[in-house]
Amino acid sequence: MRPERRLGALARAHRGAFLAALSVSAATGVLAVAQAAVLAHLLARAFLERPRWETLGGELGGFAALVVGRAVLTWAGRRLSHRLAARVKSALHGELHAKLLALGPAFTRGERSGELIATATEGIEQLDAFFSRVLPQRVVAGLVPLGVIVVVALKDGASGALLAVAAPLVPIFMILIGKQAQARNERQWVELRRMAAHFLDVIQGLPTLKLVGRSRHQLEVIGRMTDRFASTTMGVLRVAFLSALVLELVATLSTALLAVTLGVRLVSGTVGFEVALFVLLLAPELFAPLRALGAQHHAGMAAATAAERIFALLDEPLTRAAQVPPRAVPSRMEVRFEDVTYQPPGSPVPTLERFELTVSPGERVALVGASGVGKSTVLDLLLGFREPTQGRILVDGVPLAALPLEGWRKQVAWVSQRPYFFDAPVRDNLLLAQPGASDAELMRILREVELGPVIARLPKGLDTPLGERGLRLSGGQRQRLALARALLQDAPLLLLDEPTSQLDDVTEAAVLHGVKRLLGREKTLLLVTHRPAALRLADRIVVMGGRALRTPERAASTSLHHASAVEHS
Amino acid sequence: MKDTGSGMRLLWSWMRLTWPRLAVAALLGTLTIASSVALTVVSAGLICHAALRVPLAELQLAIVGVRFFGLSRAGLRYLERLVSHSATFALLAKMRTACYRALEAMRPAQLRSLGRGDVLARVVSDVETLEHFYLRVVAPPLIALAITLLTSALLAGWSPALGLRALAVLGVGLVLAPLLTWRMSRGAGAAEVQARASLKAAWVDTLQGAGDLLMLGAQERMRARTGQELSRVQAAQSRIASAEGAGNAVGVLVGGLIPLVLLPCALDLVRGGDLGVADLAMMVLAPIAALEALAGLPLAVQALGHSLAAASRLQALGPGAGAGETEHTPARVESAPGPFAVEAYDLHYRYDADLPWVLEGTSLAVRTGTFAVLTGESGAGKSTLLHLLAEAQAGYGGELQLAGQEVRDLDEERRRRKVALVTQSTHLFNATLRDNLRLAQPGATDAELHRAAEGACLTEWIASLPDGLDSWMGEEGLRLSGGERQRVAIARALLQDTPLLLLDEPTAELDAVTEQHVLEHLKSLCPQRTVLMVTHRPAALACADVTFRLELGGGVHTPCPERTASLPDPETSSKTSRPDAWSATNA
Repeated sequence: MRPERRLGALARAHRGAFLAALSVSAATGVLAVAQAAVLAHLLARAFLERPRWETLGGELGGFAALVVGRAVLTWAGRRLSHRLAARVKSALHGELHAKLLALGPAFTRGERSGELIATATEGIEQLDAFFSRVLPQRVVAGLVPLGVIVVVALKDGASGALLAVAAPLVPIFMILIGKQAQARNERQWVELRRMAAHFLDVIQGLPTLKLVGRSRHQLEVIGRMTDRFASTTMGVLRVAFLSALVLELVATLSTALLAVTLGVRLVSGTVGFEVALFVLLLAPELFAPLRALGAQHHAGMAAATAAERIFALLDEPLTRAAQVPPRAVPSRMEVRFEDVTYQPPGSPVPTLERFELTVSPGERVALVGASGVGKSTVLDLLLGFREPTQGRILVDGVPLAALPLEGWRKQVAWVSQRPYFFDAPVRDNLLLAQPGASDAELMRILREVELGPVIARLPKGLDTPLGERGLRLSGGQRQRLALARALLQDAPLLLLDEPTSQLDDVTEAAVLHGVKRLLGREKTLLLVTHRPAALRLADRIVVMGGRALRTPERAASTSLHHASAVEHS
Repeated sequence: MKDTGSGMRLLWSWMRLTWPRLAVAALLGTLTIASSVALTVVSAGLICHAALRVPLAELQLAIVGVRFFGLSRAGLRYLERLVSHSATFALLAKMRTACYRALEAMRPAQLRSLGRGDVLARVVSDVETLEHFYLRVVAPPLIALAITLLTSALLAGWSPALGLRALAVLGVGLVLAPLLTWRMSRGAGAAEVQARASLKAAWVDTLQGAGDLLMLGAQERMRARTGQELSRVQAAQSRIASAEGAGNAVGVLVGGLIPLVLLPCALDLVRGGDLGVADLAMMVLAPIAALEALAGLPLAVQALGHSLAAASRLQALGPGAGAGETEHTPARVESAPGPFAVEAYDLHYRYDADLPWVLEGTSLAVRTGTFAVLTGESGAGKSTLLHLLAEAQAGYGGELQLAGQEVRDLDEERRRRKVALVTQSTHLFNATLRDNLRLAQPGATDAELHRAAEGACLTEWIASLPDGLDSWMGEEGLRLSGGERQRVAIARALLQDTPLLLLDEPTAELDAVTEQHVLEHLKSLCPQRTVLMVTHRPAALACADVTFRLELGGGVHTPCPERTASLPDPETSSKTSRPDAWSATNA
């Protein structure tokens, strides 16, 4: 229930659209009642007076006007409720986008991203039905039956009393049966989603299944699972549909009961014909909105589930205070880790423990060590993607936590293991890092990372779009382009995470040569790598999970092998 | 249009499979609404006759009728729901297996490219769309048509003129409401699907590129892009909502038109003595009650659009998406294994006729029992070569042999017993680690599992898991790091116990110590088995018996042939025309 209440609050925040959608829905309900009343009057006159139809002209005209009005409102109501849904969805969408970026890559990357994407796209889409159908229908179902009972009671007390007794039976029975059925129904709903997930799992794993020769076998499993699911579900549905059965029974039997009592009272002359017909025509209008609401049940449930996931993300706490007072970011890159420990939320062990490191301005430091020792965590902490659980990081003596993130990030250039590119021309992707750079400058840097000929071979050179996620280029080429982009950024601190892992050794050597030249003497470099050749970029190698080595001579020597460096630890 | 036709045919072929249940469901749906028309007619008749002060006994039949139809409507609705849902499930099972069969029959390369483009995920959501095809698309118009005809026939029983008018007015609703909805939303459904795909792509970019976006200060640019994509989605949805609203409005207008058209005619009949005055109200109210059957039509039109689009996408998967059957590969005579585990001669391959060659005249030979490494620039076709071997694909030019047998002639079972492949991306299923490992060797014992795990340097990791081999993997289970995932894949391949083991960058995400351990284990498998591994890592290059360097354009270099000198010479065979296995060849 809680997510639904919160969804309601979201809708109310868009006051104009909310009121417009709901008042038009309510007005449509009122016109439906009015239409039934006029029709009852018309039929009663026809029955009692048998007039020439021309003399009914006035009433017929009024009736037509009502109908046209109701048709227009029906159309407008659908549009308005869609507008409400669109506004709320847009707002949530923007909020979610900002929130996920604020949570940063430490939160969004990896296995979780598929789930997050589903929540942000299909999840938000599932809210549509709640705002555009369930919510307006609830208003109608809350107002119209009450109105019908009052109007009927005013005309004929006895019938009004009968309806006043019958109408509450619907929600009461629905709750009684629903309580039990609902629990099963929801479990079934979960089960249904899970089975769909299994199907997706198998389909996505099909290349793997084929490889191990087990793909045919799954055919049978899928058929069997679906069949088994169908038979258990039908058992549950037999009960679940009971609540709808009760609703129908109450609706049709009260109509039938009304008709019979009215018939008997007409014979005995205790009720007039017009009133009787009026009551008979109005009774179905009482139950129609309730029935329509029942039909929206699943849409409402799906929306509540989706809302729960969306709200959980929006409520995810940010590790860093959103606003730090603006201050100048130091450009002298003396970076110091003081007793830094990082423990991921929910993990029993820290990924980085009591880490100490000082990097002097202009120094080039390589981090090596077994996987899982926390090299990537060090970079993440420095980039502000994670916050230390203990200890602090100082930049030229100022705590990193006190620096405005945006300003700090401008001072850092970063090459990640899986660099990202826009589906835009090569030039635009590079200019993101340095908006004013000339083509000549771009080409010079591209040549340094051995991309000159590659770019020249592209159909439109620098104007060639990179394709979705840069997929027009190979893994190694993307890595080199990311290096070019980082070098172009001209930031005083450069962080490289396995920058040559996808290059063969010949290309790697050439690229490293170019990088070394572009680094100059002022830039500070922090490098994570497994590759011995790349280690040669460093003045100092820090073996994590062991003691720090200060061996500039060894780093410069060509015989250094990563595996031997680890042996020292 | 051709697409729509093919989608329609596919849906029809599925519908045919479960038609008896669907027919019963449609009949029950019709009877449900017919009951409610009857309830209206009988109760109106009851009141009108009662108003004429007829004796109560004469009303008995009507009173019974009112009660009967009141009960039957509810009961029939219940039955209809049960039958239509069971039909839906039956249809769903058929669709799932049919789609799976179509995908299963595809070439692995095709499958992988589908997987990259999220096509596989879309197949699943398309099947989900079609899940409700009967309930939302087929049933409403069928029932609407039946009710229109029944109601008109009922009225015609009193007076043909009234019957005709009822048919005309209801017919307008039957045709106009869906037609208007369809016209107003034409193209919007397809536009919505497309816009949603772009929106999803924008989100994928946002989340996977989050780090770079933040570091480049491009988050606003990205937010603008997703916002733009969302407004494109909503523009299409707005047209659809408006069209649906217009369809509903037509329904309201038709409901108003009924008394306006029928009442004057009925009055004339009453005044002329051709119709009893007590029947007048029934004549007007029956068609109004029948309108309930028309209410679902605008939504059905929309659902039809979505269903057809989904069905034509599924149809495009291939002939197997219908009710096709699996193909049989003839068994072949096994020839004696040659001295080479892998031989390629003038091998050509490309993924599609309009794409450039990936392998262009490549020749190489891997001697049985060696630990061979394949290296070279990205894009030179290293992975492609492994996949050609492991997936027994046809469609290549030149020759490619696995232990002396042409790859294109191998059937799946035989291929699986000969070769295991560790790819760069391994899918872990929502299942226990044990089940994920045993996929390759369903009968494997725990001892065998542990041995394979040891070889992939997984023993400590498994011991650290909460439930050991019974820990859950995949989306709903443990999140594995890239290195752990790679090692599970290696263990799975070791378990498969094939004479040839192919590995594509298996140690790319491992640290040096683990890598060394895995490499040593792989090396210990030779010379009983042959290992061919794609890698750039120096540690792997260092322990290889032989290294092939694939060049862009098909060339192969073996920079260190002297390493092979210690190997026993292969027996001289009839293949003397072959280029020397270890020398560089260029096409």
